[in-house]
Amino acid sequence: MYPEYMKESLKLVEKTRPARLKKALSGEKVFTPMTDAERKEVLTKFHPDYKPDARRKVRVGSNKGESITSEVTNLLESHSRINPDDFDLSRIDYDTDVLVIGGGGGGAGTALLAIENGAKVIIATKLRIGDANSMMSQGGIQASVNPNDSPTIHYLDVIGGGHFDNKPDLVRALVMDAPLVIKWLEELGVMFDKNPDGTMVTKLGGGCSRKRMHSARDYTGAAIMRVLRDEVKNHPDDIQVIEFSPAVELLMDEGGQAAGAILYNLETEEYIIVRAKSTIIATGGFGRLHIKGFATTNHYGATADGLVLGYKAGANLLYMDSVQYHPTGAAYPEQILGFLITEKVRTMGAQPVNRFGELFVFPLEPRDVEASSFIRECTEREKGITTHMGRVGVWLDSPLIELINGEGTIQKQLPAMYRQFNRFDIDITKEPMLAFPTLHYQNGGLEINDRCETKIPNLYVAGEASGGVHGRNRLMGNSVLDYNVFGRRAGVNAALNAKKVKLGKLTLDHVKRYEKELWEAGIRTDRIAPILLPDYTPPKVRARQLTAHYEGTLR
Amino acid sequence: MYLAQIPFFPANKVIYDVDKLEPSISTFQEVYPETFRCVSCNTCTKACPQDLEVMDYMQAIIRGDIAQVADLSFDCIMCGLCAARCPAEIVQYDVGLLARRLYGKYLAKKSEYLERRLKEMKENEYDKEIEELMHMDREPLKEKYYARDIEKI
Repeated sequence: MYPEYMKESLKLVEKTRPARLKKALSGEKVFTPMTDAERKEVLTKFHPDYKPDARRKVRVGSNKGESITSEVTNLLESHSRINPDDFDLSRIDYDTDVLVIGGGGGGAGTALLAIENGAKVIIATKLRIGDANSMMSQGGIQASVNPNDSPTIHYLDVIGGGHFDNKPDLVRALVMDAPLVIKWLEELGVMFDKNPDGTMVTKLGGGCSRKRMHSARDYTGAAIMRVLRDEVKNHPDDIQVIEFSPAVELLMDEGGQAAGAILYNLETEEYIIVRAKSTIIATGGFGRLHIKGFATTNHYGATADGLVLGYKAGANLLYMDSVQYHPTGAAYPEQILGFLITEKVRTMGAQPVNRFGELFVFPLEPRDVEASSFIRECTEREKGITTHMGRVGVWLDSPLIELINGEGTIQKQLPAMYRQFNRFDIDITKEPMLAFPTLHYQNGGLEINDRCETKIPNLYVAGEASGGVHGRNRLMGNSVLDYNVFGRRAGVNAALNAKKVKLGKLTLDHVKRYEKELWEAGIRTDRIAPILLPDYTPPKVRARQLTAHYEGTLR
Repeated sequence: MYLAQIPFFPANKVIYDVDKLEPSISTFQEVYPETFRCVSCNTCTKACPQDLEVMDYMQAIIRGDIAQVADLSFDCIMCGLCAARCPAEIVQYDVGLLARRLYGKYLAKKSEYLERRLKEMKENEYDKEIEELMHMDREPLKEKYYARDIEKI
């Protein structure tokens, strides 16, 4: 049930619905798609990445001089959480073959493949294993399985969607491993949606030329993560999971190799030294940096920790100037602000309409174009709907899905969406949802090759934290594919590498060197990184916290 | 906001190897025998924040109907509220997960398209085409991209 002040607008949406439904059923396009010139215009004027202060030159490290997303630059131009002189590196708490930093889908897949190749693994995770963006994704996973499709076509879709900036060898790995990943997940017990004859149900995604989105209702991420997590727990002798212990710095040896990490126990505040022959960063995305003040679809721990760790050790970033905003994040009620409303909703017929019930854009433009046009509708054109909390959004007319596909469609194919709003007495089969673009995905990251190696020996990256796979823009369904493909590759390569590695004397000198670089670049700040968890303490509360001590964002 | 270390709800999760299990009632008798102590009190269903028919799917296990368990338990987020209140000490969400894994692995019909594609890839059918795309210059690649025909929804 929506509040009284929204009722007038809702009536207009209902009024315009019959005509819009008629057009949708007639088979013609419900709105004219944008031309290349129109796309460019709406992007440059309204996409947050094009705002003048969206990027800032970073003054230290491997990417010195490059303009990257400002909030990430702030993260990189920050001090360490630790003082290297406080640490006695001869007192090692854990010694292992492979250290996986991050307990999401990438981390779990890495661990499973690493033990298959003879390694002992430690997964160190900031929250609990499975608490990750991987659990939250909904729409699907791409793989070229249908007869009218091929890895070659998938390759074209990926590289075009990424604005042709993707690294070719990474795209090849992504599309060639895809069918294998589907098979592997099925063998582990993931239940993909199937047709009666056993073939997978496949759908079209934004920017794709073939139906190749495999799904498990609208819980695809959860279906996969639950199974991977269960399988990790089935190997307690080979995979040790250390929860609530994020990594705060990487360990290196005097030969310049990565050698493990320093973990910080969030409860007891102890620092733990883990030595490892291979180290894998699988820390996910950066949604909780709230870039440009946007709400996010990301989980609470998505603070780009891995980028900080890897960058300080000397690894370089690729395409760190490109941010993906998902066009439809929830804008009402406040409790679910920013949460994902899957693209599938629009694929199945829902239309974005403004305060007056008017459809104002083709529902399936690529994400950056669609998001920009929502922003334009609410800002320049002033036709959005404003909530009592000051949020603004457009209606996503979901009742159309039932009218086009038949009663009961939403409950069957979008159960997560239905439940999410039902909790707040909003029945999306009868009422539209309020949506606005939300911060969603980190397109770039630490650069890797197709063996997940960075330029630092023994250091690997897999999943959202890596850069180069998606170029400057990721397509729907390729992120779930990304962490499975590269999680597996990282696991295999890290395990094989661990067999040959000889580690030298452990050191944190790279942290000292970075501090010196910050000083010499004239950077004076009280920021520390990684931030580990975001802080939402309101200023009024902060002002009353007279004796509290904050270490960065943590109290 | 106080960050408390609430571990994953303490539960009896049994170590098993899905490759060695059978998709039948005997697996549950072996792995999660407490399932059969269910007294049908319905406390689990009442506790579920996802409004799932928890007791119904536990009864489906007892009947050996793994397909129905998989269907009814699908939306489970494994929060542990059901297990917290169960007088028979069953961990419903672990039992449901095992049933879903067995269904997905053994009982769901296999896709012949997937098998076919995997065979083609093993025989290196696409290697050359992809190599070509990898070495193409930006302009011809762009042309090829914009010339794609797009499948209808």
